[in-house]
Amino acid sequence: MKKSIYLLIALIFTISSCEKAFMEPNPETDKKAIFNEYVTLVKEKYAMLTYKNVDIDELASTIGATIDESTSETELFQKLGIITLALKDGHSDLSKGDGEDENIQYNFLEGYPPAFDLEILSNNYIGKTINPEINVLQPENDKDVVLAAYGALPQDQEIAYLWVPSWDVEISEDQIERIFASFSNAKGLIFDIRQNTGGDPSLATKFAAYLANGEDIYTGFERFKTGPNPNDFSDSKVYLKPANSDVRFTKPVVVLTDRYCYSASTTFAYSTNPIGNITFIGQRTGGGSGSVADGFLANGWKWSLSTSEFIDHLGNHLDDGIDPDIPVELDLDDTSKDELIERAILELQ
Amino acid sequence: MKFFKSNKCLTILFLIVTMSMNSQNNTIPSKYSRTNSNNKLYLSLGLNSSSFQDVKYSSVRYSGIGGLFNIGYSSENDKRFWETALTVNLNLEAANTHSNGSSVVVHPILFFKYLKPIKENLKVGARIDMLDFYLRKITGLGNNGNYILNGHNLYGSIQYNYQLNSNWNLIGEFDLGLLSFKNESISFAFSAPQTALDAGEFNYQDGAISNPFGYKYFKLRHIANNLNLKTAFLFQYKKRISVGYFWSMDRFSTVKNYPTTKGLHNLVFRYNILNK
Repeated sequence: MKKSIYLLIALIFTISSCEKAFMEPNPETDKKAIFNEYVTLVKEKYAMLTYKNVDIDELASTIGATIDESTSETELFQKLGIITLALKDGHSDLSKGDGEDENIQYNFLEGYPPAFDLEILSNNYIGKTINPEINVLQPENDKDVVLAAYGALPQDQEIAYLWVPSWDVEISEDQIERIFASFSNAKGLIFDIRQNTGGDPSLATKFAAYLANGEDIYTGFERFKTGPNPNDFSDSKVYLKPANSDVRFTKPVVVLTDRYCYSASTTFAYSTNPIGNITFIGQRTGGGSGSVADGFLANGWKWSLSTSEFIDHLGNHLDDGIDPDIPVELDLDDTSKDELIERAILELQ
Repeated sequence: MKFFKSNKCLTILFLIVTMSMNSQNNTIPSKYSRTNSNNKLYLSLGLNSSSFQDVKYSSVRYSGIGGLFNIGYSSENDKRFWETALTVNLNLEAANTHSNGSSVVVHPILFFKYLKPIKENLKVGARIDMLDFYLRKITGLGNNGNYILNGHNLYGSIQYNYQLNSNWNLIGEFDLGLLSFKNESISFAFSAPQTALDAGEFNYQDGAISNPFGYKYFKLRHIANNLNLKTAFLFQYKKRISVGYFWSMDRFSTVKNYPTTKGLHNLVFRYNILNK
């Protein structure tokens, strides 16, 4: 009897660590190991090494030769950052942890003129003083946040205006339906996505679907990294399915863009670009067409990488943005008007 | 290869044990054919220890502790045993090599088990997980911040009862996963099922991609590419009280050579609300 119990207890303890026998050992966390781990991640997961013309092996060999155990943590972080910046990709960054207080990220905004000023927009077009009829959609529990502003413009009551400053919000199907229902008498729509740095691509696609009509529209393909080898890619052809709604807006539309339009805003841009009656006015968008994966290195540093790229219906790579059909800059010295909106009004006459 | 061999060995072992037990069907003592029945409704509370590793993203292991709640019903007579139970595990995990990215794991399992006696004290049969939903929420991450593994599993099962003394009874169980139909929400390089990406079907308007119950992208796995094991030792004291130790592990590869492995150890205190 006693023997059986001892045998059982021994069996239980043997089994207790059993799944760990099947696991890989924890990785090393010395400087060289962390460097190699990051290089492997970039090599295996980053989807645009060829398009960005980055020779990761050469880069790794050059930087790796300068790393040993005497390398300080700060130096190691900066050396990994050289690889991050070489990708020229706003989606790919490296930070030291949860707080993200130290962060290395490519600045895709540099060198582009301004195309948006909230004060000019508010004072001349959508502020309650100048435009008492404007609708402002806000979350119920946070009245400082604007989900969307929409309504007719004071300059031309037949032109509808819709500003969505972020896709990183929750807007319900019903709310989208109500927004577009309010545009039923408009002859044209200005869809302003300036300053919208992204968020949820599904939400951006839902809005885009309200501008489509008829058949599904081929918008391009997304090329995903699906395995560790250089050629492990899979292409997903993407079609925009028009919204199942009676209030889709199929009259002329102008989309206003600036360099801040990034990530999910690029999803919106490539989804709407093939639609015939849509014109883009403003500045080149920021891009960020790839989908993003993120994780932690073995020492806890957080990485994110673009693991896909989007090639539009015309074969253009979109990671560095989309040029507008009509480029327009904002004159910050003239606060009486927004040149992009004025140009859009002209376009929609 | 080692993984495949170990699975193969386990399958063969399981089949040999089951077949040899079946071959002894005729030798069941006649007293076993008495008409006995026993129904139990039970509630359990417990502590657990868990571990997780997803080599697609890092070979750092995560481990932690937590608690569980369990409610179940079993019915047994001379001809069959069946049991159904819902267990909800809640764990807090941390990485073994750093302090970032702590995780909260919620893991409900609903199963049904059906066994036939083949010998006094010994039963064999099958278990099916009607729900095996595993959610890890990882702090500090964006797109990969939610890891969901959802599926259904079919096991071959063995149960052995052993009377330790007049007060204590030991029930030992072993379940070997034979088939699973599951979906991992994170693929090799993105927070979408690998099957959707491999098929070239990714589209933000396809709700099945982000829906953890979207069966379109579930994948059927068999024992050779999904090692799924469960053991249980339940010490029952008289009619009402039991103390148990349960262990389970699940290992599979969505991408070859990049396995995901998770394990769970439960220490359980069980109270039979009904035992008659």
